[in-house]
Amino acid sequence: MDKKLKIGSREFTSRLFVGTGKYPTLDIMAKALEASGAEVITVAVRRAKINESESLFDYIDTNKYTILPNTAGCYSADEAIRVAHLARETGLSDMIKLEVLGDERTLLPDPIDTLKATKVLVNEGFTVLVYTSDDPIVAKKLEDAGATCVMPAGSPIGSGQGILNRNNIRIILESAKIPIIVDAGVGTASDVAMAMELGCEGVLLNTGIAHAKDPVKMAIAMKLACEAGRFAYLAGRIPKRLYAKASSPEKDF
Amino acid sequence: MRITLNGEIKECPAGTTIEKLLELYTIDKHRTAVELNAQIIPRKEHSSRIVKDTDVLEVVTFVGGG
Repeated sequence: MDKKLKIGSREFTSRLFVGTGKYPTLDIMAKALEASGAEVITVAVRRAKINESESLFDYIDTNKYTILPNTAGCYSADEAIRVAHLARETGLSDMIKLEVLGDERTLLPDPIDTLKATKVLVNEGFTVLVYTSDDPIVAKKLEDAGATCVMPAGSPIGSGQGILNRNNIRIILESAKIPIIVDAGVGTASDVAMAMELGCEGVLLNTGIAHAKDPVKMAIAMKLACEAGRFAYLAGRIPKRLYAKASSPEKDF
Repeated sequence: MRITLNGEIKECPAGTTIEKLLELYTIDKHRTAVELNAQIIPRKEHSSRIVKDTDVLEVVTFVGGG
Protein backbone atom coordinates (compact mmCIF):
# COMPACT_ATOMS: atom_id res chain seq x y z
CA MET A 1 0.00 0.00 0.00
CA ASP A 2 2.94 2.33 0.63
CA LYS A 3 6.55 2.39 -0.44
CA LYS A 4 9.23 2.11 2.17
CA LEU A 5 10.98 5.11 3.63
CA LYS A 6 14.53 5.20 2.32
CA ILE A 7 17.20 6.90 4.44
CA GLY A 8 20.61 6.51 2.84
CA SER A 9 21.11 2.81 2.26
CA ARG A 10 18.43 1.75 4.75
CA GLU A 11 14.70 1.18 4.26
CA PHE A 12 11.98 1.41 6.87
CA THR A 13 8.31 0.51 7.02
CA SER A 14 7.57 2.68 10.05
CA ARG A 15 7.73 6.42 9.50
CA LEU A 16 7.77 7.26 13.18
CA PHE A 17 11.19 7.81 14.76
CA VAL A 18 11.13 7.80 18.55
CA GLY A 19 13.57 9.13 21.14
CA THR A 20 14.72 7.23 24.22
CA GLY A 21 14.97 10.13 26.70
CA LYS A 22 12.95 11.15 29.74
CA TYR A 23 10.69 8.12 30.26
CA PRO A 24 9.59 7.41 33.85
CA THR A 25 11.58 4.14 33.74
CA LEU A 26 13.64 2.24 31.18
CA ASP A 27 11.07 -0.54 31.32
CA ILE A 28 8.28 1.87 30.30
CA MET A 29 10.57 3.20 27.57
CA ALA A 30 11.06 -0.30 26.16
CA LYS A 31 7.30 -0.93 26.17
CA ALA A 32 6.55 2.45 24.57
CA LEU A 33 9.14 1.90 21.83
CA GLU A 34 7.60 -1.48 21.10
CA ALA A 35 4.07 -0.01 21.01
CA SER A 36 5.15 2.85 18.71
CA GLY A 37 6.26 0.42 16.01
CA ALA A 38 9.34 2.61 15.50
CA GLU A 39 12.28 1.04 13.69
CA VAL A 40 14.60 3.99 14.22
CA ILE A 41 15.28 5.22 17.75
CA THR A 42 17.47 8.10 18.82
CA VAL A 43 20.04 8.10 21.60
CA ALA A 44 22.37 10.71 23.06
CA VAL A 45 26.13 10.50 23.60
CA ARG A 46 27.28 11.17 27.15
CA ARG A 47 30.10 10.32 29.54
CA ALA A 48 29.92 6.69 30.67
CA LYS A 49 29.20 6.40 34.37
CA ILE A 50 31.95 4.84 36.42
CA ASN A 51 31.02 1.71 38.37
CA GLU A 52 27.51 1.48 36.97
CA SER A 53 26.35 -1.73 35.42
CA GLU A 54 22.88 -0.78 34.12
CA SER A 55 22.88 0.27 30.48
CA LEU A 56 20.26 1.67 28.12
CA PHE A 57 21.04 -1.34 25.96
CA ASP A 58 19.78 -3.74 28.61
CA TYR A 59 16.39 -2.52 27.37
CA ILE A 60 17.05 -2.08 23.66
CA ASP A 61 17.62 -4.86 21.17
CA THR A 62 20.12 -3.42 18.71
CA ASN A 63 19.28 -6.15 16.21
CA LYS A 64 15.72 -4.90 16.14
CA TYR A 65 16.16 -1.13 16.09
CA THR A 66 18.32 1.14 13.97
CA ILE A 67 20.17 3.36 16.41
CA LEU A 68 20.33 7.03 15.48
CA PRO A 69 22.76 8.88 17.76
CA ASN A 70 22.18 12.58 18.17
CA THR A 71 24.49 15.49 18.93
CA ALA A 72 22.04 17.01 21.41
CA GLY A 73 23.58 19.48 23.79
CA CYS A 74 26.15 20.75 21.29
CA TYR A 75 26.34 24.51 20.77
CA SER A 76 28.98 24.70 18.04
CA ALA A 77 29.90 22.88 14.84
CA ASP A 78 33.15 21.65 16.41
CA GLU A 79 31.39 20.14 19.44
CA ALA A 80 28.82 18.43 17.23
CA ILE A 81 31.52 17.03 14.93
CA ARG A 82 33.38 15.63 17.95
CA VAL A 83 30.24 13.94 19.24
CA ALA A 84 29.50 12.52 15.78
CA HIS A 85 33.00 11.03 15.66
CA LEU A 86 32.56 9.49 19.11
CA ALA A 87 29.14 8.10 18.14
CA ARG A 88 30.57 6.46 15.04
CA GLU A 89 33.46 5.01 17.04
CA THR A 90 31.03 2.99 19.17
CA GLY A 91 30.46 0.93 16.05
CA LEU A 92 26.68 1.06 16.27
CA SER A 93 25.86 3.49 13.50
CA ASP A 94 27.26 5.77 10.83
CA MET A 95 24.03 7.76 10.88
CA ILE A 96 23.95 10.94 12.90
CA LYS A 97 21.11 13.17 13.93
CA LEU A 98 22.97 16.45 13.73
CA GLU A 99 21.76 19.04 16.17
CA VAL A 100 23.66 22.28 16.78
CA LEU A 101 21.77 24.53 19.12
CA GLY A 102 21.87 28.30 19.37
CA ASP A 103 21.13 28.81 23.05
CA GLU A 104 19.94 26.99 26.13
CA ARG A 105 16.78 28.98 26.66
CA THR A 106 15.16 28.40 23.28
CA LEU A 107 17.05 25.26 22.15
CA LEU A 108 16.57 26.63 18.66
CA PRO A 109 19.09 25.47 16.07
CA ASP A 110 22.08 27.59 15.08
CA PRO A 111 21.71 27.58 11.28
CA ILE A 112 25.25 28.74 10.53
CA ASP A 113 27.05 26.12 12.59
CA THR A 114 24.50 23.48 11.58
CA LEU A 115 25.37 24.06 7.93
CA LYS A 116 29.08 24.09 8.70
CA ALA A 117 28.91 20.77 10.59
CA THR A 118 26.72 19.22 7.87
CA LYS A 119 29.33 19.94 5.21
CA VAL A 120 32.14 18.44 7.30
CA LEU A 121 30.24 15.29 8.30
CA VAL A 122 28.89 14.65 4.79
CA ASN A 123 32.48 14.87 3.49
CA GLU A 124 33.53 12.35 6.11
CA GLY A 125 30.94 9.86 4.89
CA PHE A 126 28.30 10.20 7.59
CA THR A 127 24.64 9.74 6.81
CA VAL A 128 23.47 13.09 8.15
CA LEU A 129 19.91 13.63 9.33
CA VAL A 130 19.92 17.26 10.25
CA TYR A 131 17.70 19.06 12.72
CA THR A 132 16.87 22.60 11.69
CA SER A 133 14.26 25.31 12.07
CA ASP A 134 11.33 25.47 9.66
CA ASP A 135 13.15 28.05 7.51
CA PRO A 136 12.86 26.89 3.88
CA ILE A 137 16.07 28.59 2.76
CA VAL A 138 18.15 26.96 5.49
CA ALA A 139 16.49 23.60 4.74
CA LYS A 140 17.45 23.95 1.06
CA LYS A 141 21.04 24.85 1.89
CA LEU A 142 21.32 21.78 4.14
CA GLU A 143 19.98 19.60 1.35
CA ASP A 144 22.47 21.15 -1.09
CA ALA A 145 25.25 20.48 1.44
CA GLY A 146 24.51 16.76 1.14
CA ALA A 147 22.26 16.01 4.10
CA THR A 148 20.46 12.68 3.66
CA CYS A 149 17.40 13.98 5.40
CA VAL A 150 16.32 17.42 6.63
CA MET A 151 14.35 17.54 9.86
CA PRO A 152 12.61 20.85 10.52
CA ALA A 153 11.18 21.55 13.95
CA GLY A 154 7.41 21.84 14.16
CA SER A 155 7.95 24.03 17.24
CA PRO A 156 10.64 24.27 19.92
CA ILE A 157 12.05 21.02 21.38
CA GLY A 158 9.83 19.56 24.08
CA SER A 159 7.29 22.39 23.80
CA GLY A 160 4.39 20.26 22.60
CA GLN A 161 3.07 23.14 20.48
CA GLY A 162 2.73 21.03 17.33
CA ILE A 163 3.38 22.48 13.90
CA LEU A 164 3.32 26.25 14.27
CA ASN A 165 3.95 27.16 10.64
CA ARG A 166 2.43 24.68 8.23
CA ASN A 167 3.15 26.98 5.33
CA ASN A 168 6.89 26.86 5.91
CA ILE A 169 6.77 23.06 6.07
CA ARG A 170 4.80 23.07 2.80
CA ILE A 171 7.36 25.32 1.13
CA ILE A 172 10.18 23.07 2.34
CA LEU A 173 8.33 20.02 0.97
CA GLU A 174 7.68 21.66 -2.39
CA SER A 175 11.32 21.81 -3.40
CA ALA A 176 12.88 19.01 -1.36
CA LYS A 177 14.27 16.00 -3.19
CA ILE A 178 15.25 14.23 0.03
CA PRO A 179 13.05 13.02 2.90
CA ILE A 180 11.68 15.74 5.16
CA ILE A 181 10.96 14.55 8.69
CA VAL A 182 9.34 16.81 11.25
CA ASP A 183 11.44 16.68 14.41
CA ALA A 184 10.51 18.35 17.68
CA GLY A 185 7.50 20.07 19.15
CA VAL A 186 4.99 17.28 18.65
CA GLY A 187 2.52 17.27 21.53
CA THR A 188 -0.15 14.82 20.57
CA ALA A 189 -1.39 12.48 17.85
CA SER A 190 -3.03 15.14 15.67
CA ASP A 191 0.34 16.94 15.36
CA VAL A 192 1.84 13.78 13.88
CA ALA A 193 -1.12 13.33 11.55
CA MET A 194 -0.78 16.96 10.44
CA ALA A 195 2.89 16.54 9.55
CA MET A 196 2.16 13.42 7.56
CA GLU A 197 -0.88 14.93 5.82
CA LEU A 198 1.31 17.80 4.65
CA GLY A 199 3.51 15.21 2.93
CA CYS A 200 6.39 14.79 5.34
CA GLU A 201 8.15 11.45 5.01
CA GLY A 202 8.13 10.89 8.74
CA VAL A 203 8.04 12.33 12.24
CA LEU A 204 10.61 12.17 15.03
CA LEU A 205 9.43 12.71 18.57
CA ASN A 206 10.38 11.98 22.15
CA THR A 207 8.79 14.10 24.87
CA GLY A 208 5.25 13.76 23.46
CA ILE A 209 5.39 10.06 24.30
CA ALA A 210 7.85 10.02 27.20
CA HIS A 211 6.04 12.66 29.26
CA ALA A 212 2.49 11.60 28.47
CA LYS A 213 0.61 10.31 31.52
CA ASP A 214 0.60 6.90 29.87
CA PRO A 215 3.57 6.70 27.48
CA VAL A 216 2.62 3.29 26.09
CA LYS A 217 -0.90 4.40 25.13
CA MET A 218 0.47 7.61 23.64
CA ALA A 219 2.98 5.56 21.63
CA ILE A 220 0.06 3.63 20.13
CA ALA A 221 -1.75 6.91 19.36
CA MET A 222 1.34 8.35 17.65
CA LYS A 223 1.81 5.20 15.57
CA LEU A 224 -1.81 5.25 14.38
CA ALA A 225 -1.66 9.00 13.70
CA CYS A 226 1.48 8.56 11.63
CA GLU A 227 -0.18 5.86 9.55
CA ALA A 228 -3.47 7.78 9.28
CA GLY A 229 -1.74 10.97 8.19
CA ARG A 230 0.40 9.13 5.68
CA PHE A 231 -2.56 7.38 4.06
CA ALA A 232 -4.58 10.60 4.00
CA TYR A 233 -1.68 12.23 2.16
CA LEU A 234 -1.35 9.35 -0.30
CA ALA A 235 -5.11 9.22 -0.83
CA GLY A 236 -5.27 12.94 -1.66
CA ARG A 237 -7.67 15.01 0.36
CA ILE A 238 -10.65 16.87 -1.08
CA PRO A 239 -10.19 20.60 -1.58
CA LYS A 240 -11.61 22.88 1.09
CA ARG A 241 -14.74 24.76 -0.09
CA LEU A 242 -16.43 27.81 1.34
CA TYR A 243 -19.97 26.48 0.68
CA ALA A 244 -21.71 23.19 1.29
CA LYS A 245 -21.90 20.42 -1.28
CA ALA A 246 -24.58 17.79 -0.76
CA SER A 247 -23.47 14.20 -0.27
CA SER A 248 -26.81 12.72 -1.32
CA PRO A 249 -28.42 13.06 -4.79
CA GLU A 250 -30.38 16.29 -5.09
CA LYS A 251 -32.92 15.02 -7.70
CA ASP A 252 -35.47 12.21 -8.07
CA PHE A 253 -37.20 12.56 -4.74
CA MET B 1 49.76 6.47 38.91
CA ARG B 2 46.97 8.94 38.41
CA ILE B 3 44.83 9.60 35.39
CA THR B 4 41.72 11.69 34.82
CA LEU B 5 38.78 9.53 33.86
CA ASN B 6 35.62 11.38 32.84
CA GLY B 7 36.64 14.37 34.91
CA GLU B 8 37.54 12.37 38.03
CA ILE B 9 41.09 11.73 39.27
CA LYS B 10 41.56 7.95 39.43
CA GLU B 11 44.35 5.56 40.32
CA CYS B 12 45.56 2.72 38.15
CA PRO B 13 48.66 0.51 38.09
CA ALA B 14 51.47 1.25 35.66
CA GLY B 15 51.08 -0.66 32.39
CA THR B 16 47.24 -0.54 32.42
CA THR B 17 45.69 -0.75 28.97
CA ILE B 18 42.50 1.12 28.05
CA GLU B 19 40.65 -2.18 28.06
CA LYS B 20 41.87 -3.02 31.58
CA LEU B 21 41.03 0.46 32.80
CA LEU B 22 37.44 0.09 31.62
CA GLU B 23 37.23 -3.25 33.44
CA LEU B 24 38.79 -1.75 36.58
CA TYR B 25 36.12 0.95 36.72
CA THR B 26 33.24 -1.26 35.56
CA ILE B 27 32.53 0.56 32.32
CA ASP B 28 30.88 -1.64 29.70
CA LYS B 29 33.43 -1.82 26.89
CA HIS B 30 30.71 -2.40 24.31
CA ARG B 31 29.08 0.67 22.82
CA THR B 32 31.66 3.01 24.23
CA ALA B 33 34.11 5.32 22.55
CA VAL B 34 37.32 6.48 24.16
CA GLU B 35 39.21 9.71 23.83
CA LEU B 36 42.75 9.82 25.18
CA ASN B 37 44.06 13.36 25.55
CA ALA B 38 41.34 14.58 23.15
CA GLN B 39 42.14 12.00 20.46
CA ILE B 40 39.77 9.16 19.68
CA ILE B 41 41.46 5.79 20.15
CA PRO B 42 40.04 3.17 17.76
CA ARG B 43 38.44 0.21 19.52
CA LYS B 44 40.93 -2.27 18.13
CA GLU B 45 43.74 -0.45 19.94
CA HIS B 46 42.06 -0.57 23.36
CA SER B 47 43.68 -3.87 24.31
CA SER B 48 47.19 -2.69 23.47
CA ARG B 49 47.20 1.04 24.23
CA ILE B 50 48.73 1.70 27.66
CA VAL B 51 47.68 4.74 29.63
CA LYS B 52 50.31 6.98 31.17
CA ASP B 53 50.45 9.11 34.29
CA THR B 54 48.43 12.38 33.93
CA ASP B 55 46.58 11.08 30.85
CA VAL B 56 43.09 12.46 30.42
CA LEU B 57 40.50 9.94 29.29
CA GLU B 58 36.95 10.55 28.22
CA VAL B 59 34.78 7.47 27.85
CA VAL B 60 31.37 8.01 26.32
CA THR B 61 28.40 5.80 25.75
CA PHE B 62 24.79 6.13 24.62
CA VAL B 63 22.08 7.28 27.00
CA GLY B 64 18.42 8.08 26.48
CA GLY B 65 17.85 11.08 24.22
CA GLY B 66 15.60 12.54 21.57
